Amino acid sequence: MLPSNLLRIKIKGNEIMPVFAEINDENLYLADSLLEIYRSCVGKKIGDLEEAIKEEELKAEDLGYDFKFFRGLKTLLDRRLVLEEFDDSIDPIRVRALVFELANNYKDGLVIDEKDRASIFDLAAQKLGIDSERLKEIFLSVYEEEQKIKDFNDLRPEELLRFYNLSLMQTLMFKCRKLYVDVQISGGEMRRLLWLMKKLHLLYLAEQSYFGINLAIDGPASVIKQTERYGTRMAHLLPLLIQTKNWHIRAYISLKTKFKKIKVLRFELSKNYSMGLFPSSVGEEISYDSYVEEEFSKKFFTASAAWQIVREPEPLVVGRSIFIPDFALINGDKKVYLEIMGFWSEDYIKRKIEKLQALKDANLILAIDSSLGKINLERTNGNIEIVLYEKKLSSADILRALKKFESS
Amino acid sequence: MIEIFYSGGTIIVRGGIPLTPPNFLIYDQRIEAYRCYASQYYALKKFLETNKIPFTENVLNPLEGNIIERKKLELKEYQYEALDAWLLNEKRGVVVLPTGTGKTYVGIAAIAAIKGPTLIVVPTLELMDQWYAKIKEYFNVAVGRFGGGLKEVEYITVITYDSAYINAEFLGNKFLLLIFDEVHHLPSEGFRQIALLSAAPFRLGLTATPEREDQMHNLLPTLVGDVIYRRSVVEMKGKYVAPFEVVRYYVDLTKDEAKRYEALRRKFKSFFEETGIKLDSLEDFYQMIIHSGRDKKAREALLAWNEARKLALNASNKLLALERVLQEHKGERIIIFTEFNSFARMISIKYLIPEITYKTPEKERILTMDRFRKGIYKVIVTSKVLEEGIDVPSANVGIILSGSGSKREFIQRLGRILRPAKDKNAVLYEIVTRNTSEVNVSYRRRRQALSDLFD
Repeated sequence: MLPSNLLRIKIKGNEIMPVFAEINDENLYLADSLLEIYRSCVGKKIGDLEEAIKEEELKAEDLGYDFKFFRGLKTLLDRRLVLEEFDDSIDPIRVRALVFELANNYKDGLVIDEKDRASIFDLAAQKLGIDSERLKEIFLSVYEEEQKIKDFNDLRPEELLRFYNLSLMQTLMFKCRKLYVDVQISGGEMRRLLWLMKKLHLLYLAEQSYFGINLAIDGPASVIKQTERYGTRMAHLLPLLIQTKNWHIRAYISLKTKFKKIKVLRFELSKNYSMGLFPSSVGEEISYDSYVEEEFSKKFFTASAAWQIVREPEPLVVGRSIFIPDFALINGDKKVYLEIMGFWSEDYIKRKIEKLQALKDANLILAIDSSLGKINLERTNGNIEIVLYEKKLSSADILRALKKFESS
Repeated sequence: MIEIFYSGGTIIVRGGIPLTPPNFLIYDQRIEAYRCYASQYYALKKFLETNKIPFTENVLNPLEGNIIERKKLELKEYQYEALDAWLLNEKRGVVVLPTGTGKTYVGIAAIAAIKGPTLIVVPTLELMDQWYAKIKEYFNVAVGRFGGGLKEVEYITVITYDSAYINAEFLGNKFLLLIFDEVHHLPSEGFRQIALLSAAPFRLGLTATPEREDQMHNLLPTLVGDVIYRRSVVEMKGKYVAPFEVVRYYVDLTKDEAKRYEALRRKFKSFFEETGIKLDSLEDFYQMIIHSGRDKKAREALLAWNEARKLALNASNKLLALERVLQEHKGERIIIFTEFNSFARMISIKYLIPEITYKTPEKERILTMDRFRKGIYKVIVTSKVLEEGIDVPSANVGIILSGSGSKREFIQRLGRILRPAKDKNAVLYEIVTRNTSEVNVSYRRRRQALSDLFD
């Protein structure tokens, strides 16, 4: 993500589009020259780096590059710098306090020329028992430009451009009021997405769609009044979304125009129209599987010849929300979902069953650990089969339940 | 039965409502229930109670704690009046008092009256530290700071507007009293959500200048309450604030600077003539900034305008004038104000005067303020940071080396030196570069501010 003032956009009618950096020779050249500067500044001071960058920016502008593009790349590169830690044997703030105090008491409290300054630095150095030059260095070390660059996390120029594009798109989202995403997504990815939305206090409405599932995303207060409040959080969803098998994003972005009027513009992009524009991988995968599920998966695999087991199958839409079953069991063209409920309360199970009744086209086995308490269930629809087990779920129980679906 | 509960800065109403729901309740399809801003908590309860609709609630979840007064709070007459007005207005409303007259004490008194968990929202880290110290001085209570890297949530929590905005959902049901210091910040598009997403029933706003140029202060009554008490500088001059005068010194650009200044002016003037854009108002200026993103010429003109402005504001002869004023007020408590950080930095290094800018490390900032208060440092230099409500008890000389045309900034800088001190007149110097646009800028801020103060 970039500071908002580095956002570059094109507006056409009611459409808004970030000015993405194409991976072409022209842009690679700029990325490459910037990378070269950062590499060469390892071991030098931030001030030196800033000098070199300033010079490069003038050159780049003469060559016709947009300064916002230039500074966007610089922002991303700055984050890859590793700075040297202060030598903490002498606290620079203590040194400065001493210098300021001495200056305050010097003559009439007015330090004017170089000579005055030098004598104060000498006096302070004497008091601390260090060299004057060293003292001056420490005095200035609190300033950012005096910090030393220890290392730089290098990357390839095309990757820099791709990260720039992702950051640019995220920056556009800061002002997003509502985000629609149409995705072809695995159960695991959806689980991460839902988890992320929950963590970010975002809400959604789901529906079946062309690619698989369409989500309309905004926040709790959006229903009272549309707001940009959740824009930055929506931006956090993008790295995950652009890694799904197929995606289409539609976002409504509010923009302040002249006279402080607010205009809402549409931003649309899909995977097919952005090939090669974004990084192919961002961050590591996280697994949310429980131990029970993993154990069962292994056992079932060896126990059943006819039925195949798939973990975290594609998500299902139930009503207007998402349900990701633990497993899909597949036998030819038959598909039965399996949900294992290790922890539950009676209310929770009743609510869940009530909701799942809406799944008319899908067959589902609900495995409930009955050792956790007594449970009275009314009869369910034909497409939901309930299996009670104690502590350990056996493959035989499930295979027995599957028989009922085989015959139907 | 209906259930109402707090969720992410809003209140959800679960269960059927037998009547037409009030306007502020919105049906939310995503959760199949009604929802409203947390700030509607009392209106919602009133609706349910007057219509005899039974409900269970889980909205407020106030922090638990203990608050004991440590030191007797001595209020001045006008501070009592302000507190009474607030108590009589169902503990809601805005108090307007000039800078330097102890608005903080009205806030402390409100906390003492409520004795409940309180969130104090402030615009700067300096104010955060200052409120923190004051609370500790007057109460035995757990106090937290939230902002500038700190994330402490305690019975009394002092937080910056930025952090309060970002964390509004998390904070919205934990406090009973909200105090907004410098409450004129609150109505802006984002910050107002701090008030809307909170269920806290009691609210107090403090400011010297509630009015906003964009008229959004009209929202204050719904967010915090009406202005319930107001006193102006003139009513209080001499009695509660130091007598003051404003002195202006002019300096010239050096020959080289004047040459450069003219060249820059020609550059952006010719741009205006060519494009027909006039620089008459802020809107024109805004237009130009938009242009500059795409148009290289506009950008060059803007850069030239900026550099010309900097040249006037940072004119090297200003340093000579500064030295003269420093000589004249030797031994007195002086604050130097600049527009840009770089100028403050330069003065700090040249004269070895401690600086406070937003880039100053927190540890050094706290130390510098403390030593300035104690008189170990007599002079400090600052850019924009010190403008709001910082408690600098005995500064009696202010030197504006450079500033913007903002009336508010001028009043606030004046406020820095208006603390009553014995036998000392307060003086605010303005050092202005002759024959540059700065003359107009300084005229504008002074005329507007002083006409405001003496109205």
